[in-house]
Amino acid sequence: MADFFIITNNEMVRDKYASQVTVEFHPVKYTEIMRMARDYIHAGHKLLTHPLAGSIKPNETPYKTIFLTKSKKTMDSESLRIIEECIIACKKFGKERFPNMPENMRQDFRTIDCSLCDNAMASAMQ
Amino acid sequence: MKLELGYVNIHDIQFADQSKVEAGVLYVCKEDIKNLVLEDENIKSVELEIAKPGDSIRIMPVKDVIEPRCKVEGPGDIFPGVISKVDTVGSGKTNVLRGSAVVTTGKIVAFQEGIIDMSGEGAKYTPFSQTNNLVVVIEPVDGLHQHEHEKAVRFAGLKTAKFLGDLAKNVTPDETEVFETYGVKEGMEKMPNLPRVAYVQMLQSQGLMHDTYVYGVDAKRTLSTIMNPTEGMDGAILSGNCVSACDKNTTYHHLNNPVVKDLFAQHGKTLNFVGMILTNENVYLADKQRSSDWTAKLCRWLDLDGAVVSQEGFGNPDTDLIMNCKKIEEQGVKTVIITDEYAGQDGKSQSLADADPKADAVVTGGNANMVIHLPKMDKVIGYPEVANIIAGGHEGSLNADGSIDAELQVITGATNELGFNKLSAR
Repeated sequence: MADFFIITNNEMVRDKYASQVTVEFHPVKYTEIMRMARDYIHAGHKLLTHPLAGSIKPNETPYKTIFLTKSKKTMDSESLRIIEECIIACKKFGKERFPNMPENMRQDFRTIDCSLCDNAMASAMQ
Repeated sequence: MKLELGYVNIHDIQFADQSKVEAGVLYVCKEDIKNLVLEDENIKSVELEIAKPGDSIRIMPVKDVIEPRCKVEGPGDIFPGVISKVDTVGSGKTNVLRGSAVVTTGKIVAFQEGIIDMSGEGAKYTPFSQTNNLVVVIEPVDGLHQHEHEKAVRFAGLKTAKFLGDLAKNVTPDETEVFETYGVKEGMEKMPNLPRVAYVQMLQSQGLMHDTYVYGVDAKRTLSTIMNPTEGMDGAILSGNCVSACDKNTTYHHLNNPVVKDLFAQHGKTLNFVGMILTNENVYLADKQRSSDWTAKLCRWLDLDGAVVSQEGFGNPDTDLIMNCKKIEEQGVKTVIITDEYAGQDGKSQSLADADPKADAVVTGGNANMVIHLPKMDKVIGYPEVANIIAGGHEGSLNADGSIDAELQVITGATNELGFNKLSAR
């Protein structure tokens, strides 16, 4: 069994990968997924994907997917450094740009986030 | 490897009954292009428009910009491994339709971006307000998946540019320029006292609408590798990157990479331009580690004294940039990195999502969060309504009078991280 799990707020990622790997789905905001990942890192899980994967800005896409190790060790300082930098980066973008996003736009953001996830899966399953 | 670029200056573009290049004018027969683009069964329709410098025209959303070129002498052909067969390019002679460009536009996803204004305030921020543009507006067949749609638009642009480039095959260039690099031993013998410098180009490689192709290979599935800089001038690197308009490298940028050009300008004078190292920007952290390890290893192996490292994109690639910088410096090779900044609308926030004390020589393309006002244009080519759902825009970005209030990041090429842009602190 692969030593990683996924946390996401993207139902497309959940539906695609939940049968293959552990997927924790939380219908929360982008920044909340970041904070949850940081909590896991504090608990000793290691970051496997970059939290700011994708060039779409944090206040534009509602979706975020992050891979972490399932196993826990002593806290990985590099993982913590990266997630903290990314949380700071998110803050400077300010409030959500598109609070009333139409469903077709949401679907496209889900698709792009899922594509980033596909590429992480290809590396994680090697 | 030695390449001669022959610049055929294009000062005007017009629709005509016959496609040709004559006396500096690019004549385009619409039917020629339509027939070519519609060979792809995934494309339902194609419209062609012309946008010239000074026109009151806004093009949006822009997917790619491509300069027409053609191979006149030497092995291979333009865009190898994609439009032409795989063959090593970068030597012989290539003609360039300088002053012209193909611009592709299409609604691949509901969320869109990329504005080129041909006049007014916006024109100051994009180099493509200065080119004579053939705009290819592509409508896909109904229900086409985003991956196939992106590919269809990408290929339509490349095929169009190749077609136009070939029109200049027998045209005598207005000006020529020769670029030459040497093998390791030969270069050291020719320039024994000059510092050995390479260019490390990081390629966007994260997924759908975030990809780059090298000789047709998806960059995310490669190890860092070495390339002759002249290969890029023949289209060895192609953009499949439709996200983050301000700091993405279009195919035009890859063909006209200013880092390459400036290093060549100093080649044999103040430095020995050894070559290029291509590396990627994947989402998986172990991939980043592998690629940056490999890049640093190649820098050492080439016995470099210095390396210029350019990034593409925001956030995730900041980490690749810093990993590359740190590891190359640890090999005893001095680095200069090129990036852009997301420093907030007031310019006071931390610019990058990663940092290290070894990154002590940095060139910036500017702050992408800066707010700009783009006046109404008489004509919009593409899809004007996307201004409200554009990167750097927001609900309400598109004003009733047709003007747009948004961040600089909406403009194609505004903060380009190769330095191919208009912003300067000088």
